[in-house]
Amino acid sequence: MLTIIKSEKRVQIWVFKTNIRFKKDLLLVAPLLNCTSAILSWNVDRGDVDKVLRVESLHLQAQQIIDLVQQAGYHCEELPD
Amino acid sequence: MRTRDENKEKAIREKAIEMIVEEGLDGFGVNKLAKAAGVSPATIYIYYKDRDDLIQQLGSSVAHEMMSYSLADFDPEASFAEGLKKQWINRAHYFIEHPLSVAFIEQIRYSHYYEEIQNGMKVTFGKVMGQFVTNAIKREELKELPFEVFWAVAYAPLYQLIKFHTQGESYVNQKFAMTDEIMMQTLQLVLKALKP
Repeated sequence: MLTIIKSEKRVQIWVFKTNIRFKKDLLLVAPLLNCTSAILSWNVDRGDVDKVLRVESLHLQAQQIIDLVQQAGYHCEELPD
Repeated sequence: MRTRDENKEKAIREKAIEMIVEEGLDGFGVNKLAKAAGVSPATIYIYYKDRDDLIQQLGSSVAHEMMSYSLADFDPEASFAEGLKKQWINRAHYFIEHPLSVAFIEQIRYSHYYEEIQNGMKVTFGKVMGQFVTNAIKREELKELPFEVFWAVAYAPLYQLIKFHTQGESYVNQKFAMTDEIMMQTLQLVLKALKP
């Protein structure tokens, strides 16, 4: 009998406060986030005061995402619970 | 990493609906909702991508709930009189039992969110209702009419009665509550009007 092995990958959700305010800011951050294969999807709620960056990922640490955003020249810190 | 909590999700959803009904869409935002629901904004972002996603998802879930209520135990093969009666009863129950959900849908009806919500329902709802109406026309139980004319005659009287019921009064009477008798009396007139 053939068994299909399902990879039980858990999607992680991370939420950060940033200063990604404008479209031009997004353009600078996007390449770095898009190139990271562990990042499944991301978006920035620019309408919110905290300009919240939301990331869905597999096997990633918060610090790695923070580093990526800072590399693009922006502030990024985890939004506290 | 953030984890999901069903109770929290439900609390956020209920609070959001309440806020949008009371204050409208304009002032509504994640931070305001977080304060009102007693959670952190970060928690809300676990479940929703952003404000737009939140409103869109809320709208879809309420609309689906409304649709499944309307279609509960409804047989599109039933006679027109039986089928329409079931629709009236199902819709009246939903509207009277879920006033907050109904008010919420009213709030977003004229926003850009509504189109996508409606598209999400069109398939199932349109299929069942379309089948019901086509059957009735074929059996010569229902006049063939432009959709808007059909809808205005078939459902608007019910919604007006519900409105009087919700207001608790009408233009003439200071007290009004819809009874089964009143509903059936109106339904009979509607059925008569729609007969070929």
